[in-house]
Amino acid sequence: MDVKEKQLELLKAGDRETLKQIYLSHKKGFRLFAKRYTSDDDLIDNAYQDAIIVLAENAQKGKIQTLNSSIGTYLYSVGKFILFKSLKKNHLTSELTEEVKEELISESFEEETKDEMILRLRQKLENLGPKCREILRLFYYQAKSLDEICQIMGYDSKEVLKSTKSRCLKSLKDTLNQT
Amino acid sequence: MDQEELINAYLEGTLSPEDQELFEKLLEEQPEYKKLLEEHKKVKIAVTLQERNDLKAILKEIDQEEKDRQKPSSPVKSWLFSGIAACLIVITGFFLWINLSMNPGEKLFKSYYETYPNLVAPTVRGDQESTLKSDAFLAFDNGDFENAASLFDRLQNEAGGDYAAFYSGICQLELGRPEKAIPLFQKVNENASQPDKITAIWFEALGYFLLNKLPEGKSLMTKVAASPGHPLQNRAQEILEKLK
Repeated sequence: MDVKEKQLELLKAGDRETLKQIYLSHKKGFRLFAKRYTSDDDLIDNAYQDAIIVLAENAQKGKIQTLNSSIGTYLYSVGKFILFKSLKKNHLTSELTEEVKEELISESFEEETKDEMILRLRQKLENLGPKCREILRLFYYQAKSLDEICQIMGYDSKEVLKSTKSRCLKSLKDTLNQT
Repeated sequence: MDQEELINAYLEGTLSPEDQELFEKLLEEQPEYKKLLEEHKKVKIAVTLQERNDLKAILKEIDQEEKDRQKPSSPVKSWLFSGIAACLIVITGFFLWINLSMNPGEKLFKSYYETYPNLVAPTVRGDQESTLKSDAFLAFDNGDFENAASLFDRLQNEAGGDYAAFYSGICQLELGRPEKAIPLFQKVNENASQPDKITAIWFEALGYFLLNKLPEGKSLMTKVAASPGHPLQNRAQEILEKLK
């Protein structure tokens, strides 16, 4: 297993130290590169952080197990696309395929951040117990199957997990209806 | 399978193609399923946005830790700002004048050139010993291209030193010396991987554009445009269209 594969494996497992190492490794280079397009440091840092989040999410979902390029190239391509988008310079080209660009746009949930129901759900999620939050995080964010969650969280039976998940959702719904 | 199980399986992507089709039909015909699925999607989005929020907070913490490790900079006096503002006005005027007096090759170069990032030896503070290679890339990342070029030149004869010729070439382009950059890109081996030969050819072509030698640049660009799946293929094709 080469360094890149090892890093992707660690990212997949949610290793924070690897994330920090990758984040700091390419930050300076990305800034230097992005300065060509804008002098707004906040915008550059935001685009870079968003690219890191895309990398971490896709690694966790197993979407980039077979990355052809280096992790750095992937980060630069995604970060550059996000930067151009926020600078409204969509005419500038990026190395990403149309399919990846569309996925990045649809998965950015830009519109949904303003949705009132989603805002309330986000607040209520904080009030759930740690077990519920972890089940929902693994299922909805990391796209793990119920079988995988059983293994990760040490459930003996899938049926128990299913009913726990169902209870968690009900409790979320109930707290939402209370206010 | 009850409603919830069906939706779980749908979201997991574990339904067979036939069941998937049946479920989608069910969504069209029975609004309660559609409503339930929408609820799950909203939970998914809420969880995702919350996780991203948490992750961003962690990244900001890392930034803060890094800042704290650096010495605080001395306070900048207000007269310095006035000086900088005056310089900016002069510089803006200068660049406007430069832009207007650019030849077609220079314009192409300016539109398509961007600093190739350091993808070989990312600089991380405190976790690596200083070597010629790390010093070269540190200078490169800091924009000290003159120093970086001379360090990369010293690395060129080392085994696996393809990257050194390439990055030395990038430094020369950054320093506005395409005549020195071109032979460096030509040194990159056909089977080089990071960066690859086609990327070197792309920058060699841009070097010719900067010298306003359009035919030489165009002939090299044709090679990049004919490299299926290469990240620079589309841009090379775009340039060739412009040169028609």
